[in-house]
Amino acid sequence: MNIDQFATRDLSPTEARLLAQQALEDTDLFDTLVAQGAVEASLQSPAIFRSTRRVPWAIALCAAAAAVLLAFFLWRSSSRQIPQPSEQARAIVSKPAILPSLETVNDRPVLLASELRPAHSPNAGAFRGGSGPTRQPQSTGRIVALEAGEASVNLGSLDGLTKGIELGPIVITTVFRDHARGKIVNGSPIRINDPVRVPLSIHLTAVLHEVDALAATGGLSQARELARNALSAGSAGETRMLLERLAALDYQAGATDAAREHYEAAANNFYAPPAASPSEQAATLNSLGALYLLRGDPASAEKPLNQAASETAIDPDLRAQIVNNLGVLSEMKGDLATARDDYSRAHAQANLTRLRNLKHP
Amino acid sequence: MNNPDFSAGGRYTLSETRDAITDYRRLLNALGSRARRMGSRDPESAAQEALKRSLENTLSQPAVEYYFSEELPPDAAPPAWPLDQLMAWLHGVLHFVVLEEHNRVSNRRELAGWARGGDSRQRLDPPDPAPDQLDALIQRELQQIMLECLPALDADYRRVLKMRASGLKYGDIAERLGVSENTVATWVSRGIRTLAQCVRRRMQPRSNLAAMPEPQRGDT
Repeated sequence: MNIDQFATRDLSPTEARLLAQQALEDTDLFDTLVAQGAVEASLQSPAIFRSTRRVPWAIALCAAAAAVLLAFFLWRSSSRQIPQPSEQARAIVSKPAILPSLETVNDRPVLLASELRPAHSPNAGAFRGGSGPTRQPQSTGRIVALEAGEASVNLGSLDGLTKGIELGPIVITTVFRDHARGKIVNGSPIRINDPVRVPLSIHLTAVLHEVDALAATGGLSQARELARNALSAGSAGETRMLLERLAALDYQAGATDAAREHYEAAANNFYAPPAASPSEQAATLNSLGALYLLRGDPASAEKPLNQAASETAIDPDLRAQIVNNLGVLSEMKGDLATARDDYSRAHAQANLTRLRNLKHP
Repeated sequence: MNNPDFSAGGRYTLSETRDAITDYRRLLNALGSRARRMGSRDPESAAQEALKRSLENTLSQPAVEYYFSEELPPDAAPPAWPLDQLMAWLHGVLHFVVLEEHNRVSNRRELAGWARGGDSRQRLDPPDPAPDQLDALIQRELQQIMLECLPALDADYRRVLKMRASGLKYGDIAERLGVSENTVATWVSRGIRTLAQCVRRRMQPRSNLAAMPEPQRGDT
């Protein structure tokens, strides 16, 4: 005996009584029977179905206006909506689904964390990624030629070199993709095959660009591997941004647990030199909070999201995302009044930003 | 919410109602649990009050007795109400009772202020609505569930539920939509389950009510 049999009226009264007794111990069954009763009640007043279609003109006009605004808003802000790595995660996020969040998909609240989005190609840099033969950024190279006070090295733009960078006694003057030339300062004694080392911060930036380029061209696993391998190149503070990028890539690859762990590690090293800026801290904490919410763990999400919201000197767009996510948190906790307030504040913040952008594009 | 005065009105006497509490212990537990989820501060009393009203109603009473009494007499006749109608009724009554309780709490807070101002005429709870009003309110609650939840349903589910509500049999719906009867049954079943989720969401305690102080018995 089951609810489907009951719905098709295949149960005898005695069996229905047994189902009733079962519903006393089974909340889902109780609710399903209530819903079934609500549908059957509409037999007595089928106007319910009609009334769902009958929309007063004023409401219809408002809805149309809202739809236009929402479409515009989504178009402008589509770059901030995080991708959903798996159906499971989506279901967890959308479970409350009572109030509209800053952005919605099929009326489901959506978490916002621009850091978790795939990097755009502008960050990828020229000559990187899958277009043509390439190699990974190197941190060390050697002098391959010496001529008239100039040295040639087997490091280039792929390794982060730009004009003016100093590689020991060499000041780079011309940069190619995989090699460069520079003046030898004060006639320093150097020879062919002498090693040269790229400054760490420049090397890590080059790795970040390569990681972005690989990810942008579909090489997500290569990008993650490169980022992982480069973590040992510097101190916790120096590689923190790389760790944050790796966390985002983990998320994009569907490895949400790894993403969370990497964000946690980054957050634990905010004050390792060079210390993270307020914006970096807020963005990382927002992403971390969003990942906790994706896991269906509002209790753990509360601290990072509140900490992110407490940062004052941050981008208004980022603030709107944080407040939106706080709304989802409140909704998951069942605090609908606070959720509504948060969504309103997020909307207001996002609209304010948009107005400012219109005035000062 | 004060414990309901079971001896006042209705066709059940005080002793019969005490028996009813014993007879319907499991139903009372289930209703109490639902009342708690609806945000009741006194779920036990809310459950008793909902049961009392259901037993007072000549239409719901036979269904309650048939489906939920601990021991069913062997010669008991099946009630006119099907089980889902009774469940929806119980949900509606309970929802209304909890709503009344919240209103009482609000009134007590306001009345306490008024009483301090010396206006003792206002220190009474508003009278409960008449039974026919209760019917209307429950009907409205069920309608509200449908109005809120139908637009969110998948178009196929909504279409079959609408056709079902207009009295069509599964076979007729299947013929009209060009699908098998089994598909129709599946869509109806899934549509109803989605509505059930909506019912659950509607039972979330209201945050603003949760923030209210405990009712002060004796304020009234």
